[in-house]
Amino acid sequence: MPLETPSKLELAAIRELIDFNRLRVLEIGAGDGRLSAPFAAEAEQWIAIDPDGDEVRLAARDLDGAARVSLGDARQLSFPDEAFDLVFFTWSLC
Amino acid sequence: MAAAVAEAHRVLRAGGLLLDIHPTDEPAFLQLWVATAKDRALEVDAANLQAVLRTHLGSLEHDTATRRDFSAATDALVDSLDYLFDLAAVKTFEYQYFFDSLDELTDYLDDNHEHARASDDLLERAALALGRAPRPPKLVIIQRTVVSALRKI
Repeated sequence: MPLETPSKLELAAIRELIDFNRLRVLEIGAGDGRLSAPFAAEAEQWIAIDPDGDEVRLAARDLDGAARVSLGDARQLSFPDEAFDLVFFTWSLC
Repeated sequence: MAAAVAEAHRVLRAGGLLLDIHPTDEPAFLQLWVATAKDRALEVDAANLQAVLRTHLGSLEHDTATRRDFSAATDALVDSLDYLFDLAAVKTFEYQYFFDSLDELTDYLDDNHEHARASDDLLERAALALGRAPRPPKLVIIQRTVVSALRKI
């Protein structure tokens, strides 16, 4: 089993590239919120979407208000133009 | 995938960032990790990952479709460069999955067989290596993963 979830190396790699402080973030393919949880509180706004209703329910429960979680399809986003500072594909583009 | 990248571009402000994380198309591989003799820790754990002897055991087998998806994700990002995004930064790291025994490893692979499988030869090498380990070992599946930051043009 993983010693740590999410992987410490994964979090370090993300932090090395991005400072989420005060950003409006859209996370695509958030799943159960595994990668939302460590970062969402730092952002000005964190919206996490996933096409799987079960995962959305899990993420909403675990994130407990730290992020807005909803169903969503990456190919047809229901957000206006230029609404975000950062779009984050979390293992979801493949 | 191209549609998702285009949508990301649409909802980003000018100069905004697309951040993507996904596995590379290299096969995941299996290693045996044992704490080094000179390190006082006797077991591999989260606190002493810098002090381990790593023995490479071999690569896992992936479905062609899975490998193709990983490649296509990279291609979708590369194709967007120059007209939608500029490349801001890239970093590769190892995503590591740890197992205490061969049974734990095979149970995990049985549950995730759509992603990767271990050949009988690889499992045999793992069993031999586990038996010879001088200290409590970990079997480790390593998946190279890339995180990329692209800036909207």
